[in-house]
Amino acid sequence: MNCEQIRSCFSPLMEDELSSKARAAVRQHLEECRECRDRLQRFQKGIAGVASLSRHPVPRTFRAAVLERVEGTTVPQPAPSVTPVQRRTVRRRTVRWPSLAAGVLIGLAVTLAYVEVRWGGAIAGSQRDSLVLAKRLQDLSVHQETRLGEFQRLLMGQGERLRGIARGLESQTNDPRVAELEQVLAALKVEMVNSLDGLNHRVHELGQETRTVLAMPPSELDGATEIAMAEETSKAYVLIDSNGSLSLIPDWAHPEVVDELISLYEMDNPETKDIALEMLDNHFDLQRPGDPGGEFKVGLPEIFASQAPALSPEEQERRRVERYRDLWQKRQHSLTKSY
Amino acid sequence: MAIAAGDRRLFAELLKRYQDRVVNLVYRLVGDWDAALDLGQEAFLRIYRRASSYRPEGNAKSWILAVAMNVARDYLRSRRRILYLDRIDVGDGFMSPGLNRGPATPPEILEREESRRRVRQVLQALPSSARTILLLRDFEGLSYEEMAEVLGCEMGTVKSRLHRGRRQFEELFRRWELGETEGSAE
Repeated sequence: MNCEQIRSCFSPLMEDELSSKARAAVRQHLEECRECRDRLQRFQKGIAGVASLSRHPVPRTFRAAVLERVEGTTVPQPAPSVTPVQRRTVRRRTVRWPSLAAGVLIGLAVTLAYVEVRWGGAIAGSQRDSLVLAKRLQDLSVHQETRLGEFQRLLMGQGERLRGIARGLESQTNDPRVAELEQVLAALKVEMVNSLDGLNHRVHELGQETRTVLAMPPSELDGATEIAMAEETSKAYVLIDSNGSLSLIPDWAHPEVVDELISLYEMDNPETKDIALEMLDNHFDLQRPGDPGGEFKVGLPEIFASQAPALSPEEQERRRVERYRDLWQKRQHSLTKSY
Repeated sequence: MAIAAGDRRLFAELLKRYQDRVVNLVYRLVGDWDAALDLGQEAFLRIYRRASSYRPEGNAKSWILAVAMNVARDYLRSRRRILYLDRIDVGDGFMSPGLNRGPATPPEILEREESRRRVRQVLQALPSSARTILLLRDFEGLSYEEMAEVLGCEMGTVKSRLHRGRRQFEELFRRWELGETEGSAE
Protein backbone atom coordinates (compact mmCIF):
# COMPACT_ATOMS: atom_id res chain seq x y z
CA MET A 1 0.00 0.00 0.00
CA ASN A 2 1.19 3.51 -0.71
CA CYS A 3 1.06 6.43 1.71
CA GLU A 4 -2.35 7.67 0.50
CA GLN A 5 -3.90 4.26 0.97
CA ILE A 6 -2.36 3.96 4.42
CA ARG A 7 -3.80 7.33 5.45
CA SER A 8 -7.21 6.20 4.30
CA CYS A 9 -6.87 3.38 6.82
CA PHE A 10 -6.34 5.60 9.87
CA SER A 11 -10.01 5.84 10.74
CA PRO A 12 -10.84 2.14 10.16
CA LEU A 13 -7.71 1.32 12.14
CA MET A 14 -8.98 3.44 15.00
CA GLU A 15 -12.32 1.64 14.85
CA ASP A 16 -10.60 -1.76 14.71
CA GLU A 17 -12.29 -2.54 11.42
CA LEU A 18 -9.26 -3.64 9.43
CA SER A 19 -8.64 -7.25 8.63
CA SER A 20 -5.60 -8.74 10.30
CA LYS A 21 -3.84 -8.74 6.97
CA ALA A 22 -4.55 -5.07 6.32
CA ARG A 23 -3.61 -4.18 9.88
CA ALA A 24 -0.28 -5.93 9.51
CA ALA A 25 0.36 -4.11 6.25
CA VAL A 26 -0.42 -0.73 7.85
CA ARG A 27 1.78 -1.52 10.81
CA GLN A 28 4.66 -2.49 8.59
CA HIS A 29 4.28 0.65 6.50
CA LEU A 30 4.23 2.81 9.62
CA GLU A 31 7.45 1.27 10.83
CA GLU A 32 9.11 2.25 7.63
CA CYS A 33 7.48 5.63 6.91
CA ARG A 34 8.15 8.47 9.30
CA GLU A 35 5.75 10.86 7.56
CA CYS A 36 2.80 8.47 7.87
CA ARG A 37 3.69 7.90 11.52
CA ASP A 38 3.56 11.65 12.08
CA ARG A 39 0.32 11.89 10.18
CA LEU A 40 -1.22 9.10 12.27
CA GLN A 41 -0.09 10.81 15.43
CA ARG A 42 -1.62 14.09 14.29
CA PHE A 43 -4.81 12.29 13.27
CA GLN A 44 -5.13 10.73 16.72
CA LYS A 45 -4.39 14.04 18.36
CA GLY A 46 -7.05 15.78 16.31
CA ILE A 47 -9.73 13.17 17.01
CA ALA A 48 -8.83 13.22 20.70
CA GLY A 49 -9.24 16.99 20.50
CA VAL A 50 -12.77 16.59 19.15
CA ALA A 51 -13.59 14.12 21.90
CA SER A 52 -12.29 16.48 24.58
CA LEU A 53 -14.08 19.58 23.36
CA SER A 54 -15.55 21.19 26.40
CA ARG A 55 -19.25 21.04 27.14
CA HIS A 56 -20.60 24.29 28.38
CA PRO A 57 -23.31 24.42 30.98
CA VAL A 58 -26.60 25.57 29.61
CA PRO A 59 -27.92 28.56 31.55
CA ARG A 60 -30.74 27.92 33.97
CA THR A 61 -32.99 30.20 32.00
CA PHE A 62 -32.88 27.80 29.05
CA ARG A 63 -35.08 25.14 30.58
CA ALA A 64 -37.54 27.66 31.91
CA ALA A 65 -37.72 29.36 28.52
CA VAL A 66 -38.46 26.09 26.72
CA LEU A 67 -41.11 25.07 29.21
CA GLU A 68 -42.65 28.50 29.04
CA ARG A 69 -42.88 28.31 25.29
CA VAL A 70 -44.31 24.82 25.48
CA GLU A 71 -46.90 25.76 28.02
CA GLY A 72 -47.77 29.23 26.88
CA THR A 73 -46.90 31.12 30.03
CA THR A 74 -47.19 28.50 32.72
CA VAL A 75 -44.01 26.79 33.82
CA PRO A 76 -44.57 23.47 35.57
CA GLN A 77 -42.95 23.38 38.97
CA PRO A 78 -40.98 20.31 39.99
CA ALA A 79 -42.78 18.13 42.49
CA PRO A 80 -41.85 19.21 46.01
CA SER A 81 -39.62 16.91 47.94
CA VAL A 82 -41.75 15.57 50.74
CA THR A 83 -41.52 12.95 53.40
CA PRO A 84 -43.71 9.86 53.07
CA VAL A 85 -46.06 11.25 55.72
CA GLN A 86 -46.50 14.48 53.80
CA ARG A 87 -46.76 12.82 50.47
CA ARG A 88 -50.31 11.67 50.82
CA THR A 89 -51.44 15.23 51.38
CA VAL A 90 -49.57 16.42 48.33
CA ARG A 91 -50.92 13.48 46.39
CA ARG A 92 -54.48 14.42 47.18
CA ARG A 93 -53.99 17.92 45.96
CA THR A 94 -52.73 16.71 42.62
CA VAL A 95 -55.96 14.91 41.83
CA ARG A 96 -58.06 17.45 40.04
CA TRP A 97 -60.54 17.47 37.24
CA PRO A 98 -58.44 19.12 34.58
CA SER A 99 -55.83 16.47 35.25
CA LEU A 100 -58.30 13.87 34.13
CA ALA A 101 -59.02 15.66 30.91
CA ALA A 102 -56.59 13.86 28.66
CA GLY A 103 -57.58 10.45 29.87
CA VAL A 104 -61.27 11.16 29.71
CA LEU A 105 -60.84 12.50 26.22
CA ILE A 106 -59.41 9.19 25.13
CA GLY A 107 -62.19 7.49 27.04
CA LEU A 108 -64.78 9.60 25.27
CA ALA A 109 -63.59 8.72 21.84
CA VAL A 110 -63.44 5.04 22.66
CA THR A 111 -66.72 5.17 24.53
CA LEU A 112 -68.47 6.85 21.64
CA ALA A 113 -67.35 4.12 19.30
CA TYR A 114 -68.04 1.39 21.82
CA VAL A 115 -71.53 2.53 22.71
CA GLU A 116 -72.47 2.92 19.10
CA VAL A 117 -71.39 -0.60 18.32
CA ARG A 118 -72.90 -2.00 21.48
CA TRP A 119 -76.28 -0.36 21.40
CA GLY A 120 -76.36 0.84 17.84
CA GLY A 121 -77.95 4.27 17.47
CA ALA A 122 -78.41 4.72 21.20
CA ILE A 123 -76.65 8.06 21.09
CA ALA A 124 -78.92 10.92 20.25
CA GLY A 125 -77.80 12.74 17.13
CA SER A 126 -77.56 16.08 18.91
CA GLN A 127 -75.36 14.63 21.63
CA ARG A 128 -73.09 13.02 19.12
CA ASP A 129 -72.91 16.30 17.26
CA SER A 130 -71.94 18.06 20.47
CA LEU A 131 -69.18 15.59 21.12
CA VAL A 132 -67.93 15.84 17.58
CA LEU A 133 -68.03 19.62 17.73
CA ALA A 134 -66.08 19.70 20.98
CA LYS A 135 -63.55 17.28 19.58
CA ARG A 136 -63.16 19.42 16.48
CA LEU A 137 -62.63 22.51 18.57
CA GLN A 138 -59.98 20.72 20.53
CA ASP A 139 -58.24 19.54 17.37
CA LEU A 140 -58.42 23.04 15.99
CA SER A 141 -56.69 24.52 19.00
CA VAL A 142 -53.91 21.96 18.74
CA HIS A 143 -53.58 22.70 15.03
CA GLN A 144 -53.45 26.45 15.66
CA GLU A 145 -50.82 26.02 18.34
CA THR A 146 -48.69 24.10 15.88
CA ARG A 147 -49.17 26.68 13.13
CA LEU A 148 -48.32 29.53 15.46
CA GLY A 149 -45.19 27.72 16.53
CA GLU A 150 -44.14 27.31 12.91
CA PHE A 151 -44.84 30.96 12.22
CA GLN A 152 -42.80 31.94 15.24
CA ARG A 153 -39.91 29.78 14.09
CA LEU A 154 -40.07 31.27 10.62
CA LEU A 155 -39.94 34.80 12.00
CA MET A 156 -37.09 33.89 14.33
CA GLY A 157 -35.14 32.49 11.38
CA GLN A 158 -35.65 35.64 9.34
CA GLY A 159 -34.74 37.76 12.34
CA GLU A 160 -31.56 35.77 12.75
CA ARG A 161 -30.70 36.43 9.12
CA LEU A 162 -31.25 40.14 9.57
CA ARG A 163 -29.04 40.14 12.64
CA GLY A 164 -26.36 38.35 10.66
CA ILE A 165 -26.55 40.94 7.91
CA ALA A 166 -26.31 43.74 10.48
CA ARG A 167 -23.24 42.13 12.02
CA GLY A 168 -21.67 41.85 8.60
CA LEU A 169 -22.36 45.51 7.89
CA GLU A 170 -20.94 46.46 11.23
CA SER A 171 -17.61 44.93 10.34
CA GLN A 172 -17.46 46.93 7.14
CA THR A 173 -18.67 50.37 8.17
CA ASN A 174 -18.67 52.76 11.09
CA ASP A 175 -22.08 54.09 10.23
CA PRO A 176 -23.95 54.48 13.56
CA ARG A 177 -27.20 53.53 11.83
CA VAL A 178 -26.02 49.92 11.84
CA ALA A 179 -26.00 49.87 15.62
CA GLU A 180 -29.42 51.48 15.55
CA LEU A 181 -30.60 48.80 13.16
CA GLU A 182 -29.44 46.11 15.57
CA GLN A 183 -31.30 47.81 18.40
CA VAL A 184 -34.47 47.97 16.35
CA LEU A 185 -34.12 44.28 15.49
CA ALA A 186 -33.60 43.36 19.12
CA ALA A 187 -36.68 45.37 20.15
CA LEU A 188 -38.70 43.77 17.34
CA LYS A 189 -37.65 40.33 18.50
CA VAL A 190 -38.83 41.00 22.05
CA GLU A 191 -42.12 42.45 20.78
CA MET A 192 -42.65 39.56 18.39
CA VAL A 193 -41.92 36.88 20.96
CA ASN A 194 -44.23 38.51 23.49
CA SER A 195 -47.06 38.96 21.00
CA LEU A 196 -46.83 35.45 19.66
CA ASP A 197 -46.54 33.98 23.12
CA GLY A 198 -49.65 35.86 24.15
CA LEU A 199 -51.54 34.62 21.11
CA ASN A 200 -50.26 31.12 21.59
CA HIS A 201 -51.35 31.22 25.20
CA ARG A 202 -54.86 32.28 24.23
CA VAL A 203 -55.14 29.43 21.76
CA HIS A 204 -53.80 27.09 24.38
CA GLU A 205 -56.40 28.34 26.85
CA LEU A 206 -59.11 27.74 24.29
CA GLY A 207 -57.90 24.17 23.95
CA GLN A 208 -57.88 23.74 27.71
CA GLU A 209 -61.40 25.10 27.99
CA THR A 210 -62.61 22.76 25.29
CA ARG A 211 -60.91 19.84 26.97
CA THR A 212 -62.54 20.79 30.24
CA VAL A 213 -65.92 20.82 28.55
CA LEU A 214 -65.22 17.44 27.04
CA ALA A 215 -64.23 16.07 30.41
CA MET A 216 -66.87 17.83 32.49
CA PRO A 217 -67.50 15.66 35.53
CA PRO A 218 -70.85 14.74 37.00
CA SER A 219 -72.00 17.73 38.99
CA GLU A 220 -72.10 15.92 42.30
CA LEU A 221 -68.46 14.99 42.12
CA ASP A 222 -65.61 17.16 43.16
CA GLY A 223 -62.01 16.48 44.01
CA ALA A 224 -62.82 15.32 47.53
CA THR A 225 -65.48 12.83 46.56
CA GLU A 226 -63.27 11.55 43.83
CA ILE A 227 -60.59 10.80 46.39
CA ALA A 228 -63.13 9.05 48.53
CA MET A 229 -64.15 6.95 45.56
CA ALA A 230 -60.55 6.15 44.83
CA GLU A 231 -59.97 5.10 48.40
CA GLU A 232 -63.06 2.97 48.57
CA THR A 233 -62.71 1.18 45.34
CA SER A 234 -60.74 -1.98 45.11
CA LYS A 235 -59.12 -0.78 41.96
CA ALA A 236 -57.67 2.61 41.32
CA TYR A 237 -56.03 3.49 38.11
CA VAL A 238 -53.10 5.68 37.40
CA LEU A 239 -53.17 8.41 34.85
CA ILE A 240 -50.37 10.45 33.37
CA ASP A 241 -52.30 13.43 32.21
CA SER A 242 -51.65 16.19 29.73
CA ASN A 243 -49.90 18.22 32.40
CA GLY A 244 -47.62 15.36 33.28
CA SER A 245 -49.22 14.68 36.66
CA LEU A 246 -49.77 11.21 37.89
CA SER A 247 -53.20 10.86 39.34
CA LEU A 248 -55.44 8.33 40.92
CA ILE A 249 -58.64 7.84 39.08
CA PRO A 250 -61.65 5.94 40.30
CA ASP A 251 -62.81 2.67 39.00
CA TRP A 252 -65.42 3.96 36.58
CA ALA A 253 -62.85 5.59 34.33
CA HIS A 254 -62.03 3.88 31.13
CA PRO A 255 -59.06 1.52 31.29
CA GLU A 256 -57.68 3.16 28.17
CA VAL A 257 -56.28 5.93 30.30
CA VAL A 258 -54.20 3.43 32.19
CA ASP A 259 -52.83 2.21 28.90
CA GLU A 260 -51.08 5.51 28.53
CA LEU A 261 -48.89 4.76 31.51
CA ILE A 262 -48.52 1.14 30.55
CA SER A 263 -47.45 2.01 27.04
CA LEU A 264 -44.95 4.45 28.44
CA TYR A 265 -43.59 1.71 30.63
CA GLU A 266 -43.70 -1.01 28.04
CA MET A 267 -42.32 0.83 25.08
CA ASP A 268 -39.01 -0.59 24.10
CA ASN A 269 -37.10 2.30 25.49
CA PRO A 270 -35.12 1.98 28.71
CA GLU A 271 -35.01 5.71 29.22
CA THR A 272 -38.74 6.40 29.10
CA LYS A 273 -39.25 3.27 31.16
CA ASP A 274 -36.86 4.63 33.75
CA ILE A 275 -38.67 7.93 33.73
CA ALA A 276 -42.01 6.18 34.22
CA LEU A 277 -40.67 4.16 37.11
CA GLU A 278 -38.88 7.11 38.63
CA MET A 279 -41.99 9.24 38.46
CA LEU A 280 -44.04 6.45 39.90
CA ASP A 281 -41.61 5.84 42.73
CA ASN A 282 -41.28 9.50 43.57
CA HIS A 283 -44.78 10.75 43.20
CA PHE A 284 -47.26 7.97 43.53
CA ASP A 285 -48.68 6.15 46.45
CA LEU A 286 -51.87 4.20 46.58
CA GLN A 287 -54.28 3.88 49.42
CA ARG A 288 -54.81 0.21 50.07
CA PRO A 289 -58.51 -0.58 50.57
CA GLY A 290 -59.30 -1.71 54.10
CA ASP A 291 -56.14 -0.14 55.37
CA PRO A 292 -57.04 3.55 55.44
CA GLY A 293 -54.07 4.60 57.52
CA GLY A 294 -51.61 2.57 55.55
CA GLU A 295 -49.57 3.89 52.75
CA PHE A 296 -47.36 2.06 50.38
CA LYS A 297 -45.59 2.66 47.18
CA VAL A 298 -46.57 0.67 44.18
CA GLY A 299 -44.53 -0.20 41.17
CA LEU A 300 -45.97 -0.76 37.75
CA PRO A 301 -45.88 -4.55 38.03
CA GLU A 302 -48.07 -4.28 41.11
CA ILE A 303 -50.51 -2.09 39.29
CA PHE A 304 -50.63 -4.56 36.46
CA ALA A 305 -51.31 -7.31 38.95
CA SER A 306 -54.05 -5.25 40.58
CA GLN A 307 -55.68 -4.87 37.22
CA ALA A 308 -55.89 -8.55 36.58
CA PRO A 309 -58.50 -9.83 39.01
CA ALA A 310 -59.29 -13.50 38.89
CA LEU A 311 -62.60 -13.10 37.12
CA SER A 312 -64.10 -15.15 34.36
CA PRO A 313 -64.08 -13.50 30.94
CA GLU A 314 -67.88 -13.29 31.07
CA GLU A 315 -67.79 -11.55 34.43
CA GLN A 316 -65.11 -9.16 33.21
CA GLU A 317 -67.20 -8.33 30.16
CA ARG A 318 -70.31 -7.80 32.28
CA ARG A 319 -68.46 -5.38 34.55
CA ARG A 320 -67.01 -3.66 31.57
CA VAL A 321 -70.41 -3.07 30.04
CA GLU A 322 -71.72 -1.84 33.37
CA ARG A 323 -68.85 0.53 33.69
CA TYR A 324 -69.48 1.92 30.22
CA ARG A 325 -73.15 2.33 30.91
CA ASP A 326 -72.44 4.11 34.18
CA LEU A 327 -69.85 6.30 32.53
CA TRP A 328 -72.14 7.07 29.66
CA GLN A 329 -75.01 8.08 31.94
CA LYS A 330 -72.74 10.42 33.81
CA ARG A 331 -71.42 11.79 30.59
CA GLN A 332 -74.91 12.39 29.22
CA HIS A 333 -75.74 14.25 32.38
CA SER A 334 -72.67 16.44 32.16
CA LEU A 335 -73.02 17.11 28.45
CA THR A 336 -76.64 18.05 28.81
CA LYS A 337 -75.54 20.48 31.45
CA SER A 338 -72.60 21.79 29.43
CA TYR A 339 -74.29 22.57 26.17
CA MET B 1 -45.77 7.87 23.58
CA ALA B 2 -46.99 9.91 26.46
CA ILE B 3 -45.47 13.13 25.12
CA ALA B 4 -47.72 12.67 22.11
CA ALA B 5 -50.64 13.09 24.45
CA GLY B 6 -49.08 16.27 25.79
CA ASP B 7 -47.30 14.81 28.78
CA ARG B 8 -45.40 17.84 29.90
CA ARG B 9 -43.77 16.29 32.91
CA LEU B 10 -42.18 13.60 30.81
CA PHE B 11 -41.15 16.29 28.38
CA ALA B 12 -39.64 18.27 31.26
CA GLU B 13 -37.67 15.18 32.28
CA LEU B 14 -36.38 14.66 28.77
CA LEU B 15 -35.49 18.34 28.58
CA LYS B 16 -33.54 18.11 31.82
CA ARG B 17 -31.66 15.04 30.66
CA TYR B 18 -30.82 16.18 27.17
CA GLN B 19 -30.59 19.97 27.23
CA ASP B 20 -26.82 20.05 27.75
CA ARG B 21 -26.20 17.48 25.04
CA VAL B 22 -28.52 19.10 22.57
CA VAL B 23 -27.26 22.65 23.05
CA ASN B 24 -23.60 21.63 23.05
CA LEU B 25 -24.02 19.49 19.96
CA VAL B 26 -25.85 22.30 18.16
CA TYR B 27 -23.19 24.74 19.32
CA ARG B 28 -20.43 22.56 17.87
CA LEU B 29 -22.42 22.30 14.65
CA VAL B 30 -23.14 25.99 14.17
CA GLY B 31 -20.22 27.52 16.08
CA ASP B 32 -22.25 30.24 17.78
CA TRP B 33 -23.32 29.87 21.41
CA ASP B 34 -26.17 32.39 21.30
CA ALA B 35 -27.54 30.76 18.17
CA ALA B 36 -27.13 27.33 19.79
CA LEU B 37 -29.29 28.41 22.73
CA ASP B 38 -31.99 29.71 20.39
CA LEU B 39 -31.79 26.62 18.22
CA GLY B 40 -31.78 24.35 21.26
CA GLN B 41 -35.09 25.90 22.25
CA GLU B 42 -36.42 25.36 18.76
CA ALA B 43 -35.24 21.76 18.84
CA PHE B 44 -37.08 21.01 22.06
CA LEU B 45 -40.22 22.71 20.82
CA ARG B 46 -40.04 20.58 17.70
CA ILE B 47 -39.52 17.51 19.85
CA TYR B 48 -42.60 18.38 21.85
CA ARG B 49 -44.75 19.08 18.84
CA ARG B 50 -43.61 16.10 16.84
CA ALA B 51 -43.69 13.53 19.58
CA SER B 52 -46.42 11.72 17.72
CA SER B 53 -43.91 10.88 14.99
CA TYR B 54 -41.64 9.18 17.50
CA ARG B 55 -41.40 5.46 16.91
CA PRO B 56 -41.47 3.59 20.21
CA GLU B 57 -39.15 0.93 18.86
CA GLY B 58 -36.53 3.60 18.27
CA ASN B 59 -34.00 5.10 20.60
CA ALA B 60 -35.14 8.32 22.30
CA LYS B 61 -31.62 9.71 22.40
CA SER B 62 -31.13 9.19 18.67
CA TRP B 63 -34.48 10.72 17.90
CA ILE B 64 -33.81 13.79 20.04
CA LEU B 65 -30.35 14.32 18.57
CA ALA B 66 -31.76 13.86 15.06
CA VAL B 67 -34.29 16.62 15.67
CA ALA B 68 -31.56 18.86 17.08
CA MET B 69 -29.38 18.22 14.07
CA ASN B 70 -32.17 19.01 11.66
CA VAL B 71 -32.77 22.33 13.41
CA ALA B 72 -29.04 23.12 13.19
CA ARG B 73 -28.97 22.10 9.54
CA ASP B 74 -31.93 24.34 8.70
CA TYR B 75 -30.16 27.19 10.43
CA LEU B 76 -26.91 26.58 8.57
CA ARG B 77 -28.78 26.50 5.28
CA SER B 78 -30.52 29.78 6.01
CA ARG B 79 -27.26 31.33 7.15
CA ARG B 80 -25.17 30.16 4.23
CA ARG B 81 -25.63 33.33 2.22
CA ILE B 82 -24.52 35.58 5.01
CA LEU B 83 -21.47 33.69 6.15
CA TYR B 84 -18.43 35.80 6.62
CA LEU B 85 -14.95 34.50 6.99
CA ASP B 86 -14.47 36.26 10.28
CA ARG B 87 -17.46 34.33 11.60
CA ILE B 88 -16.11 30.99 10.48
CA ASP B 89 -12.99 31.49 12.52
CA VAL B 90 -14.97 31.33 15.69
CA GLY B 91 -13.43 31.20 19.06
CA ASP B 92 -15.03 29.19 21.77
CA GLY B 93 -17.57 31.88 22.42
CA PHE B 94 -16.31 31.80 25.98
CA MET B 95 -13.26 33.49 27.37
CA SER B 96 -11.08 30.85 28.83
CA PRO B 97 -9.53 32.01 32.11
CA GLY B 98 -6.08 30.97 30.93
CA LEU B 99 -6.12 32.76 27.63
CA ASN B 100 -5.50 36.36 28.54
CA ARG B 101 -2.98 36.08 31.28
CA GLY B 102 -0.06 36.82 29.04
CA PRO B 103 3.39 35.86 30.29
CA ALA B 104 2.08 34.36 33.51
CA THR B 105 0.39 31.51 31.64
CA PRO B 106 2.52 28.35 31.57
CA PRO B 107 3.53 27.44 28.01
CA GLU B 108 1.92 24.00 28.15
CA ILE B 109 -1.44 25.55 28.96
CA LEU B 110 -1.08 27.98 26.12
CA GLU B 111 -0.21 25.12 23.84
CA ARG B 112 -3.20 23.13 24.96
CA GLU B 113 -5.47 26.10 24.46
CA GLU B 114 -3.97 26.65 21.05
CA SER B 115 -4.51 23.03 20.14
CA ARG B 116 -8.14 23.19 21.25
CA ARG B 117 -8.67 26.36 19.31
CA ARG B 118 -7.23 24.69 16.25
CA VAL B 119 -9.56 21.71 16.62
CA ARG B 120 -12.52 24.07 16.85
CA GLN B 121 -11.38 26.03 13.83
CA VAL B 122 -10.84 22.93 11.75
CA LEU B 123 -14.23 21.55 12.73
CA GLN B 124 -15.92 24.77 11.70
CA ALA B 125 -14.03 24.85 8.43
CA LEU B 126 -15.12 21.32 7.52
CA PRO B 127 -18.15 20.77 5.30
CA SER B 128 -21.16 20.45 7.57
CA SER B 129 -21.73 16.80 6.63
CA ALA B 130 -18.22 15.89 7.76
CA ARG B 131 -18.50 18.03 10.86
CA THR B 132 -21.78 16.37 11.77
CA ILE B 133 -20.51 12.84 11.49
CA LEU B 134 -17.35 13.60 13.46
CA LEU B 135 -19.29 15.25 16.23
CA LEU B 136 -21.76 12.38 16.47
CA ARG B 137 -19.03 9.81 16.72
CA ASP B 138 -16.16 11.53 18.47
CA PHE B 139 -17.90 14.23 20.50
CA GLU B 140 -21.19 12.51 21.31
CA GLY B 141 -19.74 9.00 21.31
CA LEU B 142 -22.68 7.47 19.47
CA SER B 143 -22.52 3.92 18.18
CA TYR B 144 -22.83 3.20 14.47
CA GLU B 145 -26.38 2.01 15.04
CA GLU B 146 -27.33 5.22 16.80
CA MET B 147 -25.66 7.31 14.14
CA ALA B 148 -27.58 5.44 11.45
CA GLU B 149 -30.80 6.25 13.29
CA VAL B 150 -29.89 9.90 13.73
CA LEU B 151 -28.81 10.33 10.12
CA GLY B 152 -31.48 8.09 8.68
CA CYS B 153 -29.09 6.01 6.60
CA GLU B 154 -27.53 2.58 6.52
CA MET B 155 -24.66 1.63 8.82
CA GLY B 156 -22.38 1.08 5.85
CA THR B 157 -23.03 4.64 4.74
CA VAL B 158 -22.30 5.87 8.24
CA LYS B 159 -18.96 4.11 8.27
CA SER B 160 -17.85 5.35 4.89
CA ARG B 161 -18.95 8.91 5.71
CA LEU B 162 -17.15 8.78 9.03
CA HIS B 163 -13.90 7.56 7.52
CA ARG B 164 -14.13 10.13 4.75
CA GLY B 165 -14.96 12.92 7.21
CA ARG B 166 -12.05 12.03 9.46
CA ARG B 167 -9.76 11.99 6.48
CA GLN B 168 -10.90 15.51 5.58
CA PHE B 169 -10.44 16.56 9.17
CA GLU B 170 -6.93 15.13 9.33
CA GLU B 171 -5.96 16.83 6.12
CA LEU B 172 -7.26 20.22 7.23
CA PHE B 173 -5.84 19.79 10.72
CA ARG B 174 -2.42 19.10 9.27
CA ARG B 175 -2.62 22.12 6.99
CA TRP B 176 -3.75 24.25 9.88
CA GLU B 177 -0.86 23.08 12.04
CA LEU B 178 1.55 23.81 9.23
CA GLY B 179 0.05 27.28 8.86
CA GLU B 180 -1.56 26.61 5.48
CA THR B 181 -5.03 27.73 6.49
CA GLU B 182 -7.22 28.70 3.64
CA GLY B 183 -10.53 29.37 5.31
CA SER B 184 -13.57 27.30 4.85
CA ALA B 185 -13.54 24.09 2.90
CA GLU B 186 -17.28 24.43 2.42
